[in-house]
Amino acid sequence: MTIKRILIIDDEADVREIAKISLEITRQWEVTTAASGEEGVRLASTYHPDAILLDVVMPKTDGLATLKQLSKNTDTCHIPVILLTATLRLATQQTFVAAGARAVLVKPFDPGLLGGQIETVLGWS
Amino acid sequence: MKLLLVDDDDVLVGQLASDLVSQNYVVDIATDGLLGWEYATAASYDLVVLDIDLPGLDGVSLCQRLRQTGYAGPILLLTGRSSSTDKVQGLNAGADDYLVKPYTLVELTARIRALLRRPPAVNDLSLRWGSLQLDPNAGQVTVADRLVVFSPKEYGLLELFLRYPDRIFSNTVLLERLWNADEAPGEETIRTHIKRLRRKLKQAGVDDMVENVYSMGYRLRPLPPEAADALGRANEVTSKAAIAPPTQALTSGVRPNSDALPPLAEATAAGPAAPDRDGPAAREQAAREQAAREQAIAAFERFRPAIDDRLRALHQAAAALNAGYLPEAVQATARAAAHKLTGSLGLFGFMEGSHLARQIEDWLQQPDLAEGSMFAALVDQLGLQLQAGPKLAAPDPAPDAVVRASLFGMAGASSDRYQVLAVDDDPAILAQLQRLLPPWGLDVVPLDDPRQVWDSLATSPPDLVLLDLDMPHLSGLDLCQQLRQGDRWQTLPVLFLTACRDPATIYQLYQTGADDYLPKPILEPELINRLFQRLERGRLLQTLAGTDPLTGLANRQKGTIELDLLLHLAQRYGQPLSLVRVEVDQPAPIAKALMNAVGQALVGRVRSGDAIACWSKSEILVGVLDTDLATAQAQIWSALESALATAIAVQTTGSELYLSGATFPDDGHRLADLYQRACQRRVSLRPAHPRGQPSRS
Repeated sequence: MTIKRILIIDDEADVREIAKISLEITRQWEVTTAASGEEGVRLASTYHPDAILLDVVMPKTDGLATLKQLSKNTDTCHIPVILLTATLRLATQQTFVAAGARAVLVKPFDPGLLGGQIETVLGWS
Repeated sequence: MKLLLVDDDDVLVGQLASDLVSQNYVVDIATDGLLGWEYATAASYDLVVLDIDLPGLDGVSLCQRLRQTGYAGPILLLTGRSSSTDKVQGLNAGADDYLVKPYTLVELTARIRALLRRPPAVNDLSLRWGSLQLDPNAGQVTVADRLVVFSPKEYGLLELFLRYPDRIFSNTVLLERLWNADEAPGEETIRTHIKRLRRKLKQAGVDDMVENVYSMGYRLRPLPPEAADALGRANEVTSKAAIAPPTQALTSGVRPNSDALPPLAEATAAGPAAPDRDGPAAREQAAREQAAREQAIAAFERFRPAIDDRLRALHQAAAALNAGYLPEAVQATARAAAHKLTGSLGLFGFMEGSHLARQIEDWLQQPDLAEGSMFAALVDQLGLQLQAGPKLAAPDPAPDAVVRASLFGMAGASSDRYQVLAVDDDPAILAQLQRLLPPWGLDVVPLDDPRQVWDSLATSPPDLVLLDLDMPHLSGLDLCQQLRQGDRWQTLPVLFLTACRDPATIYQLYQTGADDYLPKPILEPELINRLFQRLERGRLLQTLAGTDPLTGLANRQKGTIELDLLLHLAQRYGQPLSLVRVEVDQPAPIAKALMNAVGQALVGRVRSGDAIACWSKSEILVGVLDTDLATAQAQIWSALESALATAIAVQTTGSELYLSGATFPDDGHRLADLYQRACQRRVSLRPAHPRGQPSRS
């Protein structure tokens, strides 16, 4: 199994922590976290993750703005981004996909299954 | 249940999807025929809804293609044309049903439910676990070729576990999957059914088939390796509607999921890893998944202060609402807190907590927060969940503690008192209830003759019914069955008081629709505790099901969706829409009875395509499509007239009802504008002069 590198960008410490625990335990992936969009964009270009989990609602630079910055940067534009949202509204989710997200995952996720879900949506399995 | 909607009308589909999601369906949307085809080949759906006029690939061709490639689930066609040729063409292409536009959400969801209830038309593979075999076509279960008889609910549980062998089902999910939204069974009911299922399995020689997963729920125990080998691959196809292995189930990422299990659980379970899911690698993976969940629960305490802060923000909003004014800043903080709680609580095993937080968040997004008491009840419910901690399987606290917590919650939640209808031919019991309940905020309506129940329900709708089992003229069981037969009292909590301990009778109580039973002699803490559990759950279920507990009409949340859809239909087909508002201006006790009477008077008179909703404690809104305001108001007036002459007039001498309205497009294009306009045109209806001209107030 290839060890994947994942970057989690979320301003909520509990979501960052549980996602990290989940991916490390269930998939043994390498996980780095960022608490803001700005920090996430910086880390993405140096850490070169295989995928980014990005929260939508964040202060200052929100998920969509972060996504835009990531797709403008030649170092990071190829990295698949999965948006994390607590909203069930379809119209909102469609906006996220239209903005370039590869998938939208609805929070809360099951810590046991998050890794498998990422593999499924990114075709890694 | 997972549905695919293929329709290019974004607004209509968005509203339909929100409604379906709120009814616990998982919904994918495709806006053209080709995209619909891609979705259908990438994932498994229990039902497909197709518009006939689709870009890319038309609905009839898509339907044909789905059937040709073996899709066996129900297909519902939506058509703007009412000619029989189109319907015949659609049905010939393999559709199971069709609906002509414009239709109402209520009609469409009823058709969807009816289709989902139909038995599968194709030969399903039998589901096996060791020597047990479940044949979904015959509805039979055999163990080593010997027939074993299960009750419908036990059978449903067994089938669910066998179809999704890797999933853990929480009590909430089982309630959602196997009980109608109208029913209101408690988690105790699930435990009873699971216990009975296990006992029957054991008697049939199948031991330990269903296991408890600590703090998560129940699941099918993996077979021992040798048994799994013997079983072979027979159970690999777990979904009858699958037409291809799921390759990338979240192609476009549009996949809302209100199920208590997280999104994509099925995709993971049915993915390419499935063939060796009973092997050592899969078992190791399952252990790692479980370890991740346990680690998450273990991390909860570190994040509790932040979560408590968020809960405090919600309590502040609830207190402000109760005081009658919710400042914008408090509302915004509470909304953000609810949003965060929605996303995070489930991570720690509080799936129900996340669900409650989502309800609270939706509540806070309403433009006009009139239902403060309901909001506070939701917040209190969430607080109780968090107080219990993430180890959901922990034993229940002592009844006294729960009683205090509940009462504290309810007192803070609402100044309203609950009304309990107590039916018992024993005057000593009625006297005891009248002594015990009022100090807890529970008013008792005592009835010693069960034949008077219907009159009492009509004049004074209760929040809960307590029934004696053995009564002259009409037994408690018969009464309960009659209550559950109609729609009106489906969600009303019914508890039995009985000295009977016979398991067969207790089973019969649940079968007839009872929510719980209390053993006689009555013990105060247990009685109060159980009553509050039911009252809170009953209100919550009614809110979730979109029903207003007082009138039985759609509540404001559901009403908004239905009225918005009507408005959309009106816009799309260039028809007028009249919004009629009936307002009751009375002190609380009279208003309650009057609202109930007005609701009853109107509900049967509203055409099937129109919408009616209880908008607040004193307002009912009716949306009438393709009708001008004067006609719509006259219709409502005539419906109310007879009620005014009888029940309402009796209770409201010298009182006021107000009737007003607004029309799309003349008075506005949005529901909020129409409502505001209607409020400005308050016209008084004086019951004393029902035939006179309404006078402006």
